[in-house]
This record gives sequence, C-alpha cells and structure tokens, in this order.
Amino acid sequence: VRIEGVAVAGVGMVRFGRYPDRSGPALARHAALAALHDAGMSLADVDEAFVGYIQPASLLGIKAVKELGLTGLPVTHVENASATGLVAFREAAWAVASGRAEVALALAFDKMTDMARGGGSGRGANEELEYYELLGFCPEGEGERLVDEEATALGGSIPFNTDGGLIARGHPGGPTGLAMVHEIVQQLRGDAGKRQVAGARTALAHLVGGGSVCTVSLFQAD
Amino acid sequence: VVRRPTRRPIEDGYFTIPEEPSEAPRLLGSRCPMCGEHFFPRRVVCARCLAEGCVDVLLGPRGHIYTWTYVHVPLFAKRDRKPRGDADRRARGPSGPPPAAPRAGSMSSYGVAQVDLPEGPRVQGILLGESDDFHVGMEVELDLETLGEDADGNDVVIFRFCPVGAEGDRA
Repeated sequence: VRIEGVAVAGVGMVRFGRYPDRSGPALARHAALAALHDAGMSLADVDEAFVGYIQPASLLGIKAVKELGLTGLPVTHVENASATGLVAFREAAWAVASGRAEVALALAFDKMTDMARGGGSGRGANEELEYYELLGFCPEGEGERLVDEEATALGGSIPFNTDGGLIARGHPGGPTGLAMVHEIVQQLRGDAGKRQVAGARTALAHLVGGGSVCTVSLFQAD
Repeated sequence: VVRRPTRRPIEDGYFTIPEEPSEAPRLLGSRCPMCGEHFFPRRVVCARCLAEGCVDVLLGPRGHIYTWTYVHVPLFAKRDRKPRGDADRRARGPSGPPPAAPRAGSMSSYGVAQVDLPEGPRVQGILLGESDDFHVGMEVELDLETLGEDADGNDVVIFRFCPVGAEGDRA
C-alpha cells in the first residue's frame, strides 16, 4: 500500500543505554522534544500520538506525553513485541494518511531489567541472512553469498543495518523500530556521517516481533 | 535528647520533610518562567504554554478544600506493617495469611480532599480527622502521616492535609 502525501517531518532519539536515574517517560520526553525541535514544531502542532513500550505497566504512554504538555490530543499505547516501535510509526503514518491527523507523533521507550535484556528477542546474525532472502534481495539460499560479496556492507550494493542493527545498537524492545526510522532519516537526509550510504534515496525498515508480527515500511527521499 | 526516627517519603520528589517536626512540609512543584503557571507534581515542560525549563518551587503549605469525601476503610489497609518485600511475600506464600489488620487507633477511616493551593494547583490528598470535621472552602495545612517502617527502621511518611489548628502529629 502506498501512503501518499505523508512525510517524516522530524526525528529524535536518546542513545540506547542504561539510565538507572531516568524514568521511561522522562527518556521519552527527551526523544520527543528532540523530534519536535527537529521538525520545528511543538506539541501544540501534534494531533495524535502513538506510544510504544513493552514493559508491562498501564498508562505509561499517556504519562510520557503528559511530560510534553496537556493539549488534549488522543494518545494510544501500541505494543507488538519487538516490532512495537515500527508499528507505532505505521499507526502514526496511517493517522496522517487517513486525514484524521495533520501531524502525528510516534514515540517509544523501554526500561529493561538485565534479565529481560539477556532473554530478549533473538534477533541474530542468522536471521539477517534469512531476511535478505525473504525480502527478495537474493534468491533463497544465497544470503551467505550476499555477505561474502560484501553487498550488504557499507559501500556495497544494498547496505543493511548501517547503524549496527539490533545486535550492535541494542534492542530494548519498544523503541527499536523508531531507532530504525531515525537512522533511515539520517541516511536519506545525507546526515549519517561515517555511516552514510552514498546517494541514498530509498530505504526499507523491516522488523519482526514475537515470531508472529512482521512490519515493513518503505521511505523515499523528497 | 529524644531521638526521633528518621522520616523517609513514600516516594521521592513530591514533598519536603522538615528537620524540625513543628514545621509544615511543603509540596515540591514547578513554575513556568514564561507564563507563570504552577504545577504539582514537578515537570520540565509547561503543560499550558509548552515552554521548556520549568523551575522548582515549594508549594503550600496551606490551601482551601475544593471538595472532599470520606472513606470508611483503613488507609492502605496495611498501616503499621513493614513494606512488603520479597522475603515477606515468600513467607506468606500466594495463599498465605492476609496482611495484619491495622492496630487500634490507626487511621481506620480517612478523608480525601482536593485542595486548591494559593499558587494555583489543585492537589488531592488524604485528610486527617473525622467525617464531620470538614467543609468545602475550609483552610487546611499540609502535614505528614506515618504509614509504617521501612527495613532500616525509618518512618515512611506520606503528605496529608489537616484543618488549620487541628492537632496532628506535629502538636
């Protein structure tokens, strides 16, 4: 499905890490303000918000948006396992595409315990090869060849995971999908620095969650 | 010298605990430097004008009752018990005995009020007193209510309101 007339106006994120002294909603506030500043907007411009997190507590998404102000905008919690962040993004994109919102905010955060981190999603190197094939970047069984030929490395014909992906960046669950969108926007703006893919015009974000969720978003530079 | 147990808030960041027990506690709030609006609890971004950089201010200690109700159930139903840690939960087990009943003389019933502070925020809190002690518009003052002890023997306290002039813990 092609969503016409929807653009990513701004992105912002807090570097993934351990922040024992900051709450999830406080981290979300920093990321959201960065995104609003990037877009040259304030919360008053936002018509609807979708907030993703996995840690099991009710109303944290509302709490996170309340940190940004009280404007009366509707806030919806999105949870779809490891794909949570990218599904929140999809919902925001559809809210704008449908015409019910002119500006929508997709926000995600998570606070994980060490146990949850260790036992978390197994997004591993083996899966990446499988996705090369399933996404059609190479025929079945030839994912390994794609790596050997360095096609998926920076400078290759189809660079993957330019920010290190889930293994190098970390995978706190909720915000991973939005970190992907953040990286894609840096790439399509030509702002990715040492990670820049020369001449990047089109990008794809793909995320699976819990074995039963899969979401893919395609982006094009203006 | 009478040693008083150290008082600890039930949650950090919401109210002060004065060294001198005769002093009223204050609420930890925020003020927007742009539009001047006050908030409780504290926040960074102004909820009204969306300016960033609200500053910390102390609110209260007095205000006026906007509305109130009375609850004929013990406060938290577990006063005078130590906070329930893992060891305690294990000892009781999933179907173990229920938490101990509150001792006689504790808050076996309590009021709940929404109090308008002179700075603007309307704050909900528990009320010290009997059900016929309160009326709308009444001036009340912040006080601290001891809920129990923590593992280190500190008194765990929460803020409450009591009618000005009433005898609270501080009297």
